[in-house]
This record gives sequence, C-alpha cells and structure tokens, in this order.
Amino acid sequence: MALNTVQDYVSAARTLLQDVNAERYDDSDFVDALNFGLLEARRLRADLFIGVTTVPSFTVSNTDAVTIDQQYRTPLLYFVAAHVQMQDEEDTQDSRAAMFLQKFTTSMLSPG
Amino acid sequence: MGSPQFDRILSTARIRLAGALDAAIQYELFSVLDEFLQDSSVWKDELSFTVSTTALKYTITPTAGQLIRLEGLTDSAGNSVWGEMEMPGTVKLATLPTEGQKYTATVALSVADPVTRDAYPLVPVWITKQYNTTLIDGVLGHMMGQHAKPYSNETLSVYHLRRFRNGIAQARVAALQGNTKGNQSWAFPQAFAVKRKWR
Repeated sequence: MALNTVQDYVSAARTLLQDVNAERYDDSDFVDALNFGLLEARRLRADLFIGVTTVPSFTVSNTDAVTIDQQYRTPLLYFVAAHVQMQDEEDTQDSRAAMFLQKFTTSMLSPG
Repeated sequence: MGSPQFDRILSTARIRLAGALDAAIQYELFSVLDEFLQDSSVWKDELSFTVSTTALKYTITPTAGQLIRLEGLTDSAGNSVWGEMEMPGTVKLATLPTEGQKYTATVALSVADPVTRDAYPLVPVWITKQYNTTLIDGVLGHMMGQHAKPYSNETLSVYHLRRFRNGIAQARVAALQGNTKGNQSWAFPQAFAVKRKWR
C-alpha cells in the first residue's frame, strides 16, 4: 500500500488502530482526520503545497488521489491515526494518540 | 520530468537536504541563480539596434533572461558611445546620432520568469557547468537557512553561503578578465577618447 488514495490512508490507519473490521471508528472519522491533517501540514510545511491555492479536502473514503510528496505520506498517516484516536476518552488511547501526533510533527519539522 | 542541465545540482541537493522537496529546491535555485548572475555579471549578450538622427531612446530586448545592466555601447565602427539604461530595456543616448546606423549594446543578464514548464530557470548551459559547485553551495546555503525544516542547519548554511559568495567574487573577476589568465579586459573608457585628425 503506497498511500496514494483516501482509501489507502483509511485502511492503513485502521491497521495502526487495530480496527480493520471497522467496529470502533467510522470511515468518516478517518476522512475528517485526513482533511485536518492536510490543513496542519499546510501550516507546518507550506513548501508541500507550492502551486496549490486551496488545500485539498475529501468527503468520503474512495480512490481519490491524495497528492502529497511521498516523503510525507507516512507522517500524514500518523496524524490521521492520532486524530481519530483522540476521540476516545481512555487514558491509554490518549498516550498513543499523543505519540502519533508527536511523530507527525517531528517528521514534518526535523530529520527524525 | 527533470532537466539534464540541473540534474547534478538537484541530485546533490536531494542527498544533502533530508526531506527537501524538489519544488522547494527549484524555487531556491531561481533565487540562487539570480543572485549569482546579478552580482557576477557573467551572463552577457550583445544586442544590436538601429539608431536614427531623431531619437535618443531605444528599446532593446534580450532573447532570454532579463536585462540588469548596460555594460557598454558601441557604434557600427566599434567606437564607444555614451549611453545609459534608466529602465531595463530602454537605452538612452547622451546625444543624437549624426547618422542612422547600427549600435551594439553589451548587456548583463539574469534569469527571468516565466521559467520552463518544469519550473527550471532558463540560463546558458555553460554557466551551470562552469559554476556548478558555486551554485550547489548557494542552494544548500539558502535551503539550510530555512527555519523549522528537516534540513535546517544554521552552521552549515553560513558555511555554504560563505563559499557561495566567494564563488560569486571569483566569477566576477573571471568575467572581468574575459576568462583569461592575468589579462585585464578593462581599458581606459574610450568614451573620453578624443579623436584628432592630423593633416
């Protein structure tokens, strides 16, 4: 899976969150998280959106292409997992969500 | 699609700038080339235009790049003529020509927008070949000087920018010497020369 489409991000995030059977989160949660992640990526790294006047936004999990440099697709996936997991109120989920969010920010701004 | 002319510069930049985007490197490459050409004047061209006895101002247009400086002006016999370029592209003579003839303006050029479809600046290939190392230093210095990026590195940015400025200075001297060893292409301004006819 090369994280080319919205569906790819949803599937990969479900794997990270151990929800491959879609029992805990809806697809719309992941799509919303992807949209927020793109906005956050635009804030942190404007160079990822050179020539793009409006940050892309998606409505459903489908085969629409998510156009972002391949170097930063995994960090975007981490944001999606973090944002979806933050819905939960359990303490253990909060720490995992924070970890994913930290990985997103670190990957965007530093080599690590 | 890449540009063979800039392949080595971009490949070197990609290796040394972890996480850098090609589009960002291309943007900085334009700025680097502009700074290099503006300060070194290595890219020159000779533009001919026909003068008349009734006009002082003439428009000149380069085939590529943008005009930044008028380096010299000669008439059809090769004699220096006084002129200035108040605005890039408009040559203004000091006095009306005595006859209609062709003048040649030697101009310094820099890169211009629009760039190619792949967003690479248009610049003679020999410049990127001869000054490849200097341009690489410029790109690395500019990129590493960006804030909050995976490739941000203030120390290395200063180092590369120092090398870039040194390269520009060497290029400027080489251009002044006409890419020769030890020669000086500068001569006493012929605009001040007075022609005398001896009987």
